[in-house]
Amino acid sequence: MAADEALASSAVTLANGRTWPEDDDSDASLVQQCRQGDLRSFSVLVEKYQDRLFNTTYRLCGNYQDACELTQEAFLRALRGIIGFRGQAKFYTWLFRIALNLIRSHQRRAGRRHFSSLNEPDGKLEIASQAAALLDGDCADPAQRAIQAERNHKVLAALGRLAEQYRTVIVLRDIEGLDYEQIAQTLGLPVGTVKSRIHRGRLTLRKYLADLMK
Amino acid sequence: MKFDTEILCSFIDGELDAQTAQAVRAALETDKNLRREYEDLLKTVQLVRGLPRVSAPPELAEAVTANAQREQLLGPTPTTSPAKGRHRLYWGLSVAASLLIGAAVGILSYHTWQGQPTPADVPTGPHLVMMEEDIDSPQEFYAGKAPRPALPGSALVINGRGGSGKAGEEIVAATKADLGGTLARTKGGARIARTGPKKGVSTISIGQADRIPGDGPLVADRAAKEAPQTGMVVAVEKSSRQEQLARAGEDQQVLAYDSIYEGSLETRGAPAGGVTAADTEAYYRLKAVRKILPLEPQIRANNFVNQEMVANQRFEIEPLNIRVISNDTAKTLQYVQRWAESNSLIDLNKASAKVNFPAYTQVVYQGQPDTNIKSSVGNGVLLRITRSQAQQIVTELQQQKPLVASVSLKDDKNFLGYAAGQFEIREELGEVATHRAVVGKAGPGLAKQPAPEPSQIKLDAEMEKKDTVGQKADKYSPLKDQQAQLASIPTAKPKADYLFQITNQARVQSLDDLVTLVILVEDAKPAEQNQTQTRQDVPESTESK
Repeated sequence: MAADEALASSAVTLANGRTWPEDDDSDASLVQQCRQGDLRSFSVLVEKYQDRLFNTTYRLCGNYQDACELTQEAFLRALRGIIGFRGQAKFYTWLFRIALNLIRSHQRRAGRRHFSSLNEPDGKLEIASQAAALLDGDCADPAQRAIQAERNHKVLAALGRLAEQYRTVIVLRDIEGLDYEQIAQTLGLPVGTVKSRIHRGRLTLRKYLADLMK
Repeated sequence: MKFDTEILCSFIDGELDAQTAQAVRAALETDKNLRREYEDLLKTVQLVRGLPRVSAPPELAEAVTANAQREQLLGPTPTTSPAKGRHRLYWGLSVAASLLIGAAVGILSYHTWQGQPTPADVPTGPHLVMMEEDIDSPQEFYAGKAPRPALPGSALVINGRGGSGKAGEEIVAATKADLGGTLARTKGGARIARTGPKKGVSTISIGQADRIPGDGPLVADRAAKEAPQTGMVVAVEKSSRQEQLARAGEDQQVLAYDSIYEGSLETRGAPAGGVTAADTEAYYRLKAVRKILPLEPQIRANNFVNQEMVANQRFEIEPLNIRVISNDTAKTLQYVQRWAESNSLIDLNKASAKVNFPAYTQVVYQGQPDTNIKSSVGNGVLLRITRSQAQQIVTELQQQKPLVASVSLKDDKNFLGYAAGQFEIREELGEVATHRAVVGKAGPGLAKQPAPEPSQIKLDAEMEKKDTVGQKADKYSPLKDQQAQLASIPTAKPKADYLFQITNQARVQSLDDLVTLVILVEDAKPAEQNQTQTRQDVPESTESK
């Protein structure tokens, strides 16, 4: 049970044990400088959060190009709206809500087309991650590398098949690392609804991934 | 106390209070069913959390900053959805470079983006021309549906009917009239048209990229070859058929196939400083790997391809062609298929259909433009096979008279078809060599576009002359062009046990023993004219290597 408990307690632990950059006090001063028109401060915030925001956006929208566009647009909208940002929420939370609204708008416009791409991650993702492992050998066993890549492929495909409401909470929980309360706040939902959706989403995922459970 | 899966989810997420969590732990120790449910859910969570983290593209921050700066200068840009406004990022990228040398140039680039001609002193280099919708007429082209290429060395890859057919010709003619140039042509097979130079544009290549997934790079390559002085050409590809399938949700694997290209270098545009040989090689190798990995293991084995072979660039399986002239094509095909099954061989066409991956089996035959799987299934069987087996089927087919009129077996290195297997990958690796040569020759960052040389005009004339010769000369055949470059690619000899592992056929001792066999069954009673031609082409006696 030790490993299980480690997972159970890892509310914000992400893949490979890495963690996202967190909001901290420096954000407030950077935001303040942005409000005074200092684009360099804004660039610092972009550098700090671009990977986190992009990763989550990509997993939610499933299309690399769209994720690029949406991430960029989220940052730009944040910059445009930073005058009105009162600091009641943390900067990243606020930024993420902007991104989430953009993603949802995009989803409504695009229908399922772009989300279906989640069935297969775009090439750049793999260039960045799996291809390196596959081709350049940071894992000793080529067979293991291939297996891992295939497994990821199947997981992404399963994630892409989930209904949007379930995919969103699963991504926020298991990829973004938010706890139920944070997810509820971000989505404007009751915690009970979040809990229920995570549950249903995982049951569906489990069904989709049955062949990986063996 | 009974616990359901929702409680287990909360337990996994650490969302239970200490007392409930302890009760769950205790129950898991004693309740086997609950334990099984828990382990399955835990595994599900682990799989999702184990997904690799995707970093933002390195140019994203730069693009954001550049756009932010531009907004300070010009005001906010109207928001568009990614589907409609995908150019924004790339626009941002181009502007990013411009802003580094001054806001004035940035503004100039903005006007360029709006479709105005670019003065010659605007920095040249890789430039992306992006299309989101099919262009089927010059009117649409000039109505702004397609952004006009404005920088030297641009490649415009048109989806829809832009590159061939009447509409394509009209577009090219209109483009030529507008931009000038020594040559404008369309080639139904190669889907390439050229024009220029005028208004600061030296060469535009117009190609159609939606017929064969992956031919966007080929178009770009061709354009690069034709304008080596311009540096790398960046193209856009969109596979309309796959997108349509995606919308319909008909075929998950096709989506996978399609997305390989969506994230390609082509659609992303060139990185700052130009596309390097390493970029291109990584892309093609990756594309090859991604194409194979999602397939069923049996199919992969049958293709004799896996990631190690990709890594070793070892795809030297010879293509062989059997042509069968038959008095009953359906029966002959059945015979061949039964023979293949009895020898534990997989007809790749059928196998691919089984895994619902029609794009995988797309086969294009030289001289039969745009033949897709639906027609190729009708008259062909595609096998991975040994030479001795190939000879065996020839012998057996010859004995099937009067069903079979004649049989020929020959090496066909000009075979242009492929089935997303090693043959295609071999071609793609050939593309790597080509890109290497192109990039190496031209190099990134050439500052200015030289005036066209007389030799270039001569080349145009020669190419135009070739157009009249026939489609065969026009077919872009990287395999044919790149034999020498392929030969220069270092290969690693696969281990015998490894071969055994991937083929699961002990009789295969080396790659040299393997061939890609295409059995084409043709009707012995075609129209008279064709019949004469066929009989001239196909000798009565068999020939084998």
